Amino acid sequence: MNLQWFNKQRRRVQCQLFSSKLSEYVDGTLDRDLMWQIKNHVAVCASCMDVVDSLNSIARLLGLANRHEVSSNFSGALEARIAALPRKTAQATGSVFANRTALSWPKWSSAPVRLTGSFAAAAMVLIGLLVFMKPPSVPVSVMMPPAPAVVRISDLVDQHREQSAGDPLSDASAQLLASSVDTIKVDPAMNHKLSDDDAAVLVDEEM
Amino acid sequence: MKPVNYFAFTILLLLAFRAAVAQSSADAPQNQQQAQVLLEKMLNAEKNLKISGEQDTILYRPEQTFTASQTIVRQGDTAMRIEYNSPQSVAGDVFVDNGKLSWHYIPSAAKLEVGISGLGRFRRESDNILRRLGSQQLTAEIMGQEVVAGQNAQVVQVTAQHSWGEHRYWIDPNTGAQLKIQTFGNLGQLVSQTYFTKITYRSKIDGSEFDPPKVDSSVKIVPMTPRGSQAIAGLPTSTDCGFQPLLPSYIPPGFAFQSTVIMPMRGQKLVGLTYGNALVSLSIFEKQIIPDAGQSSPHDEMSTPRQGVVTAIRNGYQYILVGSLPTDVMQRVVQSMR
Repeated sequence: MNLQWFNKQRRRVQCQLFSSKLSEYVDGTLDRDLMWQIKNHVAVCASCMDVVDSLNSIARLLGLANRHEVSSNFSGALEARIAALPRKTAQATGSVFANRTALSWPKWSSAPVRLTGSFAAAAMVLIGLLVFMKPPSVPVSVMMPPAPAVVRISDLVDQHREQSAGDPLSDASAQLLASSVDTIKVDPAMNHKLSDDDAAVLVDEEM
Repeated sequence: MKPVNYFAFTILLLLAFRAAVAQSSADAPQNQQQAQVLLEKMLNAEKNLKISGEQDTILYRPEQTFTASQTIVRQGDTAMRIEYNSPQSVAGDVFVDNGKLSWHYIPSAAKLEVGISGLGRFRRESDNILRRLGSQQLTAEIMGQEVVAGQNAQVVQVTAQHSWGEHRYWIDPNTGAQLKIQTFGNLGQLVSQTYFTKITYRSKIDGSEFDPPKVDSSVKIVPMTPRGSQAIAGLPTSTDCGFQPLLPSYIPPGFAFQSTVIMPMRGQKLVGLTYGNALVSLSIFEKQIIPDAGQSSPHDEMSTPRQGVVTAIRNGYQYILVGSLPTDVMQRVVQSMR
């Protein structure tokens, strides 16, 4: 009992420690020891595993997106738009910075305004990049299906195989192939329905 | 021949027989020792060896035999990639594990499954196997030698003592590479085999070979295991499961607890416990039955819906056992749940 309580507490503390490192973990930029610790933690922590899966999906989709070169006048046009953006905003809202922002970009002198301009520039660059990149057609939120209402026996057999395939003495290729074969509804090579029985057998209904 | 000569001849024969028996009993431990050294070399090679090649895998099932060929690239226990070439039903499937995450791209289903790497478990269990070999829970024996994929190989048979499970390995004695594996069922029948038809030992493998499969945006990305599945360290508690999980008071000899997974299911949780002896494993999935209002609890029953699966209802719990063990052994495990 004490050991279980200790394990739970340890997982909770690790969640707090590692949550800010998961992005770097996915990028593989952490040192080896930390990578190893996070990897062990993620293997037993569903919430961190979900975060890692999502981060990885995003990274993969961004990696897939086509990259486009910006036009030669992009920088100039961007600067012009940035220069125009605060003035309009300030005038419309009657901001206390109205007088300052009425000045052109190079004449900004106060630190707060410089900071605001930097953020605006960064935001515009980001928006520009996103506009020029092909957006993923699959929203990230759709990638993680909800918990199943029923679990099929074949899901449990898969789960069992997944555990067994990690055994160093097992035939991992055969385990992997068996899972692939059983998820095929119809095998065109043999015209044989391989998983009809599984599809019909729901754990809840069968027993 | 004189009687005295008969006597001398019989004595000589007995001495020769005794010497032969003594020699063979001296050979047996030596053979096992050599087999153990080879197996250790194989496990170390699996951790470090960089190889690529072509493999065939054959699954022997009662209703049919299923053969597949695949291209494999493996960097020890840190990364691997498998691309299926045939048959048509799985051709194009790609499985990649980069040591952190694993991906299984199934083009026919326009699906990319993403999960946590399974290679870490490999590392952890290797040492466990060496311990089991040392304690004689597993025995290894050299059966002979053969040539596989142009390489000389020693055939090593590993058997679980007082239990089920028998695997054979064809090991390259120079590199330790596992060139072929055969697994056998509890009746001694061949269940699967995987062997290289072509193998290349490589000094370096580019990391890009273990990049996630390239897929277009129409491919659905899903987690490998159901959302919310949680592997936990050690045995489960009622807090983990939402009910009091029962444990088997009987497990087959030589088996030990390996892992726990908790899967969400219709507002409840299903708990999976895995036990194994390094060659064969048994998973016990259980959940508590909550009867609908006004209905009584279902009666106890037990069935075998398919080979290697036993389902049961017992004392208000549902059980599904999965494993390559005799049905009566799995039934005994269910009956021992306390």
